Amino acid sequence: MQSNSERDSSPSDSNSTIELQRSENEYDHLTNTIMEDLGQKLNRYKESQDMSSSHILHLPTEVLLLILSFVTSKTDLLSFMLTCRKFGDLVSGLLWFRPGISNAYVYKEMIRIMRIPPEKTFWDYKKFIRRLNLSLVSNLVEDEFLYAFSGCPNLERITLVNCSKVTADSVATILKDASNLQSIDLTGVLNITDGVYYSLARHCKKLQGLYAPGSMAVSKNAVYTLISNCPMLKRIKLSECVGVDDEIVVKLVRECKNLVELDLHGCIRVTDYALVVLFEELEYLREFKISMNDHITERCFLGLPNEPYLDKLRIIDFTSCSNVNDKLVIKLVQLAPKLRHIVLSKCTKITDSSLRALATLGKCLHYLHLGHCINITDFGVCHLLRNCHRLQYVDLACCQELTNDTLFELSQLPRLRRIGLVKCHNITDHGILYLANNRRSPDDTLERVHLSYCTQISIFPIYKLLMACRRLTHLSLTGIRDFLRSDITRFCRDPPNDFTQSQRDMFCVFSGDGVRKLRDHLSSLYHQQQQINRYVNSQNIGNLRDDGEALNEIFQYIANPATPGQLPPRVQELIEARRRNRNQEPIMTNIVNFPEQIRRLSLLPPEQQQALPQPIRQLIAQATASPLSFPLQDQEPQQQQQERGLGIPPVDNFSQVVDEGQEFDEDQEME
Amino acid sequence: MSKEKKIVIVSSDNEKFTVDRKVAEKSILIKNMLEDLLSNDDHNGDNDDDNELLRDAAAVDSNELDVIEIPTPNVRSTVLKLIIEWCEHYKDISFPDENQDEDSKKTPPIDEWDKNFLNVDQEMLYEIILAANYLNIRPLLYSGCKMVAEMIRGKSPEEIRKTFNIVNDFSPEEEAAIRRENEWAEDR
Repeated sequence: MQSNSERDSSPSDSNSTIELQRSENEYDHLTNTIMEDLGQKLNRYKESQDMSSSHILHLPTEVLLLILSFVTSKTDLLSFMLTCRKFGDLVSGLLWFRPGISNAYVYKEMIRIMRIPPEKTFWDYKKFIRRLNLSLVSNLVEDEFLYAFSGCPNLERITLVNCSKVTADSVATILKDASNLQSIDLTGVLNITDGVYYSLARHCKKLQGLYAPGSMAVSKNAVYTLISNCPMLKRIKLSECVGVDDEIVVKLVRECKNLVELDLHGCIRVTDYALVVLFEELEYLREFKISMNDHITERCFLGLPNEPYLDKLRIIDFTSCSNVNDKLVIKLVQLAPKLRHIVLSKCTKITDSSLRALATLGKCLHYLHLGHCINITDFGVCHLLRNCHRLQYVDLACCQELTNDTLFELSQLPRLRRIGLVKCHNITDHGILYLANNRRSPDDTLERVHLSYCTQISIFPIYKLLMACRRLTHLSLTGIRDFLRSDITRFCRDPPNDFTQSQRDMFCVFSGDGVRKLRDHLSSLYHQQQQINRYVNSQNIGNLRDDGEALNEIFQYIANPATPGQLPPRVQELIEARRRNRNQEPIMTNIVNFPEQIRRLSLLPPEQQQALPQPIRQLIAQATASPLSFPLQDQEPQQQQQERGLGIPPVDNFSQVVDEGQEFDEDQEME
Repeated sequence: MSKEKKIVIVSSDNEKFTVDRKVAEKSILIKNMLEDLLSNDDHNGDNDDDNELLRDAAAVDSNELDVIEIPTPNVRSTVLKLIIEWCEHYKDISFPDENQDEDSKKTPPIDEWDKNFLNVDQEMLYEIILAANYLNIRPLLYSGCKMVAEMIRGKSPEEIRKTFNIVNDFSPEEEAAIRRENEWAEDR
């Protein structure tokens, strides 16, 4: 029942609960705790009940708890609790072990009940509470709540993620009775003071986990006192704490031998000196993060042998450490050959030779962030991706040297879940099509794709990607011209509140249901487009490449002759532009763009051409100037097609029309 | 390699059931036991010395290596018969790894076949659960527990008491207090 293997699936995210006992799962822990609590009571009630050996009351507690773990409705649990004392004892322990505080009603009820003196409630609930997680109601939590919860002697974990309204005083108060506290997560709590640290040091000697990234104002003395009093510390986040310097880190290493996770983001006073001690002495170190620190150089590994000395190390993060270079990375990989999660974003010195070193991590590497590593190229990235086929998360934002070659290698990764390619200007439709065409398994793993400011991308490849990756839950396309049209942006989520108007105008991010709606929308546009194509095909015209938007407008015009006369100005502009570019090769990025309709129309017999609206006849005249021709597509009976083609109501700002005959067929099969 | 062993499982009332090893090993308890007994047996030639002890142990009940007896002192023969029937039914199905986490354990509903199989009186159901727990046959234990959980679903406290023949030892006042203090937990 235990999961012994280290978790190697999802990359840990910064808000996850502090993990202390990897080997024991939640359910086992709950069972064991409640069994301990109930040990004696179980016998006490035995006498008062029917003693036949086959009665539910005589099942062992572990089995009863297993049964209750399958009772998913809390209402049912409550009914069960009310049947008799024994089950009341069992379920009350279960309900209050980790009260699920998920909304304002529960939040208020909790305060009400906690304020009743324990002798006046049926059970002493404060004794049951082991875990308190307030991150789901973080916007509600105020000091009064924590004051009401003071006096819970068995608290083991407190999670106050993003509870920005609580003050250090109430946090310090709840700690006073929490002598069994193992971990506290204060991520997002503002203005953590020395008082919290002194309270932890005085009362919570068993503390193993402390996430306190808001400790900007905490003094060196407070951190020192905490470290001296809590030798069991295993996981610590002290981001941006001014009190942390080399002396503190060395003290921590010497006092807390079990340290497995240390996060020193923004602790700018720490230098190579402390890191040498840290890496040399902490044999269990699993996770180390530091950022925005210019002191870190390859000398942080000074004196360590050229062998897997840090073979427990799985996660390393050197974000924005400007002096991290290839030498450091090469040595790191030698020391820690089982690294799984590497963040080197904004380490601008690193080059392809770092990537060649990282490639030797092979299947160990699951998570890689190289954003803003402006010097890396396709050469290094492709080599790395080919060697590390278990990568799940890859971020290469702003690596502007990268091209479609990188996308091709990315498309080959079978477990890939997230891709970040923001501002990789050289990515084109070709690359996205590689990706879409190589990811066609029905349970493809890809979930999040970030392509904002990849300005060359157009709609058709994204449509293909959406169709190929059914698990996609996030797609960002901010700042890409083709997508900034009302029929598409209506599915995108709201821009963050602090965005300026011009940022809002560029914002184009789809998540959750928005992705599904976008997929449906593009799919229906595509379907309509096929019908138009069939119509045009039926007109027995030759192939033609042309500008998509212009033709789109024309087809609106055809479909909706209610606006006779001049073509819309935008179309005329586009026609103008097209004429200027006439001698240039049509580029593949126009794949969504335009089919050959105009030129096909131009091949109609003259009498039929005469029947077309005047603006279209003009266009045809212009188009015949460039004499490319393509094989005809199969044709369907003319009249039938005509009806279908013209019968479609124009969609609000209708999209491009596709010129890929083969693509049609593939997708018809899919639909 | 060794030839196929026959395993004899003995109930508390001394009834003997002979089964294939594959069937017996649906019980992780028995599987581990057999692995301990037989692991060295398979590499007989390699290190004879180490094997002596284990081979003796394996032969304790049977005097010969081809039959191994396993006593189950807590399980009545009527229950053991059903347990073996279940193991026979699933002998060719391998269940997900023991290491699966909480989430995956809860999601699947009761298997239809198990539902029919476990459609017995409460007494027998509990005995099967207890035996599955003892013998460490997780899929059966889970199916059994899910059957009981089903019997709780959607019922009022009084209906649950009736279903399981539970005597209410709360006063009406106590019941009201418990409700007041715990109804926050209800689904809403």
